[in-house]
Order: sequence, then structure tokens, then C-alpha cells
Amino acid sequence: MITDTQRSILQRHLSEVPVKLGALASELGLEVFKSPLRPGISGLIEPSHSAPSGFRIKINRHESVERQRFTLAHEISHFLLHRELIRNGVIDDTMYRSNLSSRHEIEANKLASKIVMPEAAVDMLRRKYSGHSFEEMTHLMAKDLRVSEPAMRIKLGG
Amino acid sequence: MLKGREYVPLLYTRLAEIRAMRELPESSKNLMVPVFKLRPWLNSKELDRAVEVVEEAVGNRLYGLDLDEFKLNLNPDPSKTAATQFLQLFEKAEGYKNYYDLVASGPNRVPVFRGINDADLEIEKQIEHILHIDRGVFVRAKVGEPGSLLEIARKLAENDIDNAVFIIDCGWGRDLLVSAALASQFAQRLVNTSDKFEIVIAGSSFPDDFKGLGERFTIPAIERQLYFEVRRQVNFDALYYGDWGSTRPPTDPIPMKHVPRIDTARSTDWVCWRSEDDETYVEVAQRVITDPAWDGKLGIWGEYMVVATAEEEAVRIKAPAMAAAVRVNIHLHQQANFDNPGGLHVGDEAVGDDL
Repeated sequence: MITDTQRSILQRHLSEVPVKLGALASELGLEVFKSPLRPGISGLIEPSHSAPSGFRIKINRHESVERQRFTLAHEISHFLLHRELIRNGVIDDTMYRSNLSSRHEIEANKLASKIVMPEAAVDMLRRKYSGHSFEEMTHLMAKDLRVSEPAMRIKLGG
Repeated sequence: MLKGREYVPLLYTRLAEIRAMRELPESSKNLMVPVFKLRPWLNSKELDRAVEVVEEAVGNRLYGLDLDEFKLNLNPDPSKTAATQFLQLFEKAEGYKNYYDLVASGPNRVPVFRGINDADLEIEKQIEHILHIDRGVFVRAKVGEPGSLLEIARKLAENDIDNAVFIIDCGWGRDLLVSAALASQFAQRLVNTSDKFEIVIAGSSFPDDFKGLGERFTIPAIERQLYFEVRRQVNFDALYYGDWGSTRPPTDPIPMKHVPRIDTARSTDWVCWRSEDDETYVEVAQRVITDPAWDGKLGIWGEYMVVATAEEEAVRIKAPAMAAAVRVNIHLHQQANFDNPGGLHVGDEAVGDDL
């Protein structure tokens, strides 16, 4: 579960967009690497002796930046929500399926979505671009938040 | 300008080259200074988008910003804004002021001397712009058409512009070594003008016709031999290797049946697998990754895409532009690390503020 200290770190980082995920992970004590993972694998989280938190995250260096950002947020979410279940490691495929249950993956996806697209920022940007069409708004907000347009579209309920 | 670098790739701003550059590991990008021939980017309305995609691909690093005369010769539609903006860069007024203003407006853009084969190339005026921008200059010439190369060198030396890079381009062909004597002669004359200049010897032996070569073949890359031969003849420290990134020069569209082909690059050759009996890209890729010549351990995007294709991932090689991007990506990585084999295998890279 998320500790009070972690919640405070999270809230501070989510107040500025695009959220600086590398800095957030670092403050949570996580090591993060872009790694040459094989096709079909988006990221993983595993134990690390050198990381202050005891965990390191690897994300696939060959996927798009927007995809990498969501993957990093997803792995951070596993750390915050499920670190007692990680054991030898959790490897997430491109559909964010792993050796954890579907319920745990859904939880990680929900929190990841809130991390890369914080509610307050989404509301503010929605107001800012209110004069635009839904497609334009999706494009502009995705760019501001550095997320993919499909992810943004889902968030906006399209 | 090139001190500490290993490689000067000469590239067009086409989809394959931009993708190949964008996906390179940072460690390889740090070893090169590319020179891009700019053209309007695909269907973008503004020319700025073309510069943006180059800078997204190169990152926060110096690059030569040249112009693509081939696209000028195609008479781009002047009713389109990007085309109009592009045409304006070729205007000679005030020593190509429009062009130099574009270069000056981005902190990592290095000018490329304009109109080297023109009679009225306004050397002094261009030198004023170069001095004002103060990032050095590339001067590029075809080995058979040096134009005012040596006169420009003299004027640059007179104005104490030391950070000039001369590119002697031997063009495309399998007979590149024929150019070695001429390239050496020009290099020696430049050295005699100023030993502070840097000189790039470039060419490309990547072929444009693969018919009759079979389903698998190897093509030696002769451009390295050209460079070594000039270096042997001209004993000069600041002589650098350049090439056309295993691309072909632009041509007018030619209607032809496309045959899937996947190439990988090694340090001194290319290995090519061509579709036989209507093989798809997936089937060709499956042949590639089971071939003894396949490395697969470099950890770079080009190899990743071949495996992704063999495994029928959603993002894979489906068209010639992507197949070319894969080859160019591996080639650029191989050439950047030619003298640094330890850097060929790319591992984990710590994430900082970039995500």
C-alpha cells in the first residue's frame, strides 16, 4: 500500500505536467533503465541490491516515448501497490499482462493513468482547449501530457 | 568541430533516414555529426516541421543543415506554404540571408556553404553570415565538381575561420577507389591552405539494383577503403570518415514491382536477404534471424525490428521505407563505433529527466 511519504512525493510530482517520471521514480528510491528488451515485452520491475527502495525498473528502449512513459508509470504503480508480491520480478508484456493477476494489472493501469494524466491537469487542459473539436483537444492534450493519443482519448471518454 | 567524433553521415530528410537516426542509442549519436539535406517534411504545412523532426532525431547535438537541391529541381508546388518557404532558402539575395537566418535561429545548426558551383556565390557576404553565427561551417564538394572549393578555403583562412569542415564527396558507385587520387589531391591542397581545417572523405558503395543476386548475398562496403586510401596518401590528423549512410540518392518515382528485402549492416559489408517465391517480410525476417551472419545482440532498434518482424509483432517491417530505416540504423551504429568495438553492444541506459 502507498505510504504517507510516498503519497506526498506523488502529489508533489503530479502538480506539474508533463509529469517528470524519471525524477518521481528516483525520489521513490527506484532505479530506472531503458533496456534492450525483446519484442513483446514493455517493461519489468525486479529486486535490486543497489536501489534505495530495493527495486529497479527496466523499460523497453525500442518502444515509443509515450509508450515508455506509460510503462514506467505502470511499473511505478506495481511498486507502490504490489511490492510485497514482486518477489523475483514482474515482467509486463505489451498488453500489460504478467505473472500477477488481472486484478493487480488493472490496478496498476488505473494508477498509471492517474500518474501520467493527473486529474487536476486534465481538468485544466480541458478548459484551456474547450473551443477545439474533440480530436484537436485529444491531440493537444496528449502532446502537453506526453501520452499517446489513444490513451488520452480513453481518458477523455472518447 | 569534429574533434572527439568518429563519423559524418550525409543524409536526406527522408522517412528512413530520420527514423534510423532517431532510434540510435545516445552513445552512437555522440560519436557523429550528421549533415542533413533539408526538404519539406511529408505533408506538413510548414517547413519548420522538417527542421523539428531532424532535431528530435539528432537530439541536443550539432548537425549540418544543408538544403536538398533535388527537391528544388522537382519544382515544388508554390501554393503550399512549406514549398514556398523552402524555395526562399535558395534565394541568393544578401548572401543567402534567408538560409543563414534559418540556421542562426536554432542553436545546434551549422551552416553549409551555398552555391559552391555558382559563378556569383558571394563568398564575402556568406563569410559575414558565418562569422555572425559563429558555429563554423561545412563546405561540401563533389570530387569531380569542386567548384570554388579552394577559393572558399583561402577566404575562410584569411578570415581566421578555423572551425571549417570540408566534405569531399566521391558520390555513389562501386568504383569509388578510382576517386581516391583526386580526393587525396584536394585534401592535400586544403591542408596546405590551413592545417586547422577538418576534412571528411565520403562516398557510398551501396548498390541500387539487386536483381539476380539471389535470396541471400553479401555486398562489400568500399567507402572505408576509400577513406583508408586517402588517409594513407594524406598524412593528416583531422581527416574523418563520412558516407551516405547506406542510402541511395533520390530519384524520380519509377513504377516497379516491389520485392521485400531486409538488409543488415556490418562494419565492412552489408548482408541482404531478398524475397524469393513471393516470401513476405515476415518470412524473410525469419530467414534472417536463423542465419549464421545474424548477430542479434547489438541491442539496437534495427535488430529489434527484424526480430519483431519475424515474430509478427504489430509494429514491424511492412514496407521498403521501414526496411531501409532498419538497415540505415544498423549501418550508422556500426560506422560510429568502427574504431570502438566495445561500444557496439548497447546495454542499459539510466533514465533521467528525459522521461
